[in-house]
Amino acid sequence: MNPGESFTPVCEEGEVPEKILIVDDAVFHRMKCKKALSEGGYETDEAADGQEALDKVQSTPPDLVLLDITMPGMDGIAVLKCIMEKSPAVRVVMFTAQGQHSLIAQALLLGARDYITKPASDEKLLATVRRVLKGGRT
Amino acid sequence: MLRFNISPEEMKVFMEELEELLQTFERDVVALEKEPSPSILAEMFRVAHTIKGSSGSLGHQRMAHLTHGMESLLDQLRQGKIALSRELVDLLLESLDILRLLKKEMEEGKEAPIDLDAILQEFSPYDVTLMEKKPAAPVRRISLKSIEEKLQESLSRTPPGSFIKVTFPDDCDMPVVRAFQVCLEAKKHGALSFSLPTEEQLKEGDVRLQSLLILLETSRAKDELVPLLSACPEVRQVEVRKVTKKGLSALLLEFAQSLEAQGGEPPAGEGTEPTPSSLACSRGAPPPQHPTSRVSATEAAALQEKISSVRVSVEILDTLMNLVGELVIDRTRLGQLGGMMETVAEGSSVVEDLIGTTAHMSKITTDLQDQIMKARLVPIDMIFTKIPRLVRDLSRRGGKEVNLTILGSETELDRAVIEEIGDPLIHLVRNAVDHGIEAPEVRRRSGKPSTGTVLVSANHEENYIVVKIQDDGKGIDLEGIREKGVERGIFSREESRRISESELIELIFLPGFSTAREITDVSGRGVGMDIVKTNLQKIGGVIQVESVREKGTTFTIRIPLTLAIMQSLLVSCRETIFAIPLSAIVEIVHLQRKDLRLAGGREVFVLRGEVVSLAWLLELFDRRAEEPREEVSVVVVTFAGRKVGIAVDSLIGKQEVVIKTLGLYVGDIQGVSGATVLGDGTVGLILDVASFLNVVAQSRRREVAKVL
Repeated sequence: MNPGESFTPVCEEGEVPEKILIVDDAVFHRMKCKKALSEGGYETDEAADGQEALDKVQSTPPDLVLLDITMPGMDGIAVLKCIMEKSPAVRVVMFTAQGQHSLIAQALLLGARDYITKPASDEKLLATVRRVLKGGRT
Repeated sequence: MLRFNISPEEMKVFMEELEELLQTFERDVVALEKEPSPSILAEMFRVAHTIKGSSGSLGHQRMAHLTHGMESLLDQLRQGKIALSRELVDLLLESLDILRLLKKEMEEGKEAPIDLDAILQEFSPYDVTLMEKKPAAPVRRISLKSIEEKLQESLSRTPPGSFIKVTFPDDCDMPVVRAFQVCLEAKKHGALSFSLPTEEQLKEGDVRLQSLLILLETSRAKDELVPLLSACPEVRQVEVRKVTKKGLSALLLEFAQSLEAQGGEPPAGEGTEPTPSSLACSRGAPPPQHPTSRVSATEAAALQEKISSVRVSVEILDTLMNLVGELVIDRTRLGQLGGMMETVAEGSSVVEDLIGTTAHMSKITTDLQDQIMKARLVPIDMIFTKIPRLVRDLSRRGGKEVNLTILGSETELDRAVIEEIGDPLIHLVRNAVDHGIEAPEVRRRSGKPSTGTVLVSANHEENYIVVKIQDDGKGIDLEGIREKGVERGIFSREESRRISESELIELIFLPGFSTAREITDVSGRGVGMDIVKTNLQKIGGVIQVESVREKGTTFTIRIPLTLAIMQSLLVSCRETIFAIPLSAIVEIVHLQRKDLRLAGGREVFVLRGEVVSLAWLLELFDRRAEEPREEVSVVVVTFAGRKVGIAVDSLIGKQEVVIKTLGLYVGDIQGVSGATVLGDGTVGLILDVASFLNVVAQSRRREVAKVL
């Protein structure tokens, strides 16, 4: 988005903005996503690892989880499994590296809605988030 | 100019994270060469992956490209698709070096001539994205005959099956996965009897994809299917045809073309022969458990710990430490005021209350100071982590075999101290490998194991941290030093015989002093032992050397835990108050004028049978005592393993002082390392024992020169 351009918030006045939980061990990446999503009119929350993510999904369920596959300790696939077991309604989009085909395939089979290849432009991130949030339950 | 469109705050986060990741990677790559393990490879992959993601979103294309290559290579190593070789380790180390250059370039803000193309070229064989574009080997043998059978079968059903062809845009991220998503969607609307590439191929990912062909047994009409499948992300076009007898050959042709694009049709007659990996996936068993998804108890504990910590910038810690420093001054002042008021209004309950409160505040201040000190501590591992790589490179270059042991890397010390001791430590390790450890054949000849040992250790001793660098090499050539000393005119041949071994070793710390064999090419960086010593002294560190011919050398460094606060003895000299670091002080003696003797042009005194040379604090002001006093107070300090007495005018007492730098305006003053504000507001000077003794030695030399 150009600095001068005003963004169109996704929510109408009085409507509660949708909340997105960003799960990634990489601080910088979390920060960049948070910025892009906030500018896109979303409320964001962050988790630095799998356990924190699971805690937050339980305590303050987000509308969408952006989940990194490659994390130390509990990886994204394991986190996804837990989320799908406990809160299957939560929409999850995986962050992946180029070439992690089988992991993404596995994630999609487990119930992830979509994936975003890192690094993704702000536009692509927002487009994916919008698309997934718009799509109903499957 | 390198410019990135992010705020300074964001840049800071990026750089901090990058540094951490690079350190992890460096440690891992050395560990990997020693003993490859899946967990190390997994961590290295993660590091490359994270840097790639961060640098990509920052817009640093060169860094992203390089880490992409690293990530691809590591991914394949991790999956066991390629074997680890020395060349690959070298390639990873080389990439690490380039990443460091790229980081430096960002710090300095200008583009450096870094040739990325060459190294990117080396990574290209491992690049998965490139692989996706080049024709895959025909690993999975699917015969046209089996496809024809499927089509016939589909045709015989009522209603007959649908043929679906899906294409994806050119800029699609991983079209193989997008195709997989389409398959998943299609399966919601019917039974998927066959697809090309097959689901297993799509899931595994190593297949070239032009278009996706599906044979679906469905009751849904074409008009329903097209919008449903087009709604899948990143789909360019969806084409749906009912399977008909007339259209059969056209469909078969489509499949044949697709097969050909995949790498050609195998010899006729062979049926579908899935590879073991596709077998595993097609068995319908639950997806294989990912090895990293099991979290052990220790990992869980580590996770817990991570959540309960926050990042605080060093500047904030510095400011906190400074503020506590001010508190320490006020505390001292309050104590003094209380004492004064007690004499004025003895027994007053208000004064008692004040003294009580001051005592309590004093305790709290001390606790606060301790806590902030702790917050500033970082493990020495930050430096130690560089050593394995260094030793590896040096020993390889020098044709030596070195076994490195590192102990106590978890030992913590002040961040500021870490910054200062990094270079000296690295230099000493370099020396140990370069000049200490002999070549394997030399070692064998002298009856030692051909592999040398270098031991680097760190541990706490009260308020000090002690770092040892020990090698079992050839030891320091004392005779060489003796010769060199005579040659350089430091002492006569006659004198040289009386000089003790420890004094001889001290000579290696003189600027420009090197015995050709011992300190040649000192790491090729022009940093000598004198710089090592100066750097250490700057932070109040002391270095000691023990060396035994043919047995090896041990350098022992003692560094104060913090640079900010120091226990000291306050003394006065010509109305100036000096703080002498308590750590350097052995004892205080009162001497009579008659106790002082002259020996070798120096004033000395005998302390319990040991001859100790004496220096006057006055000499800092470039003069000697004018009127000889009968009694003199002498503070005995140890310095570099030797005892030296410092004569002062009077002793004031023990006090904790907060060290302030003299500032740029005043600049470096020999013999003084900083200043402190005392409780009553007076400024005291902090005596730099090492440099003070240097001043004294120099002025003596000048005097001797004058006499001659």
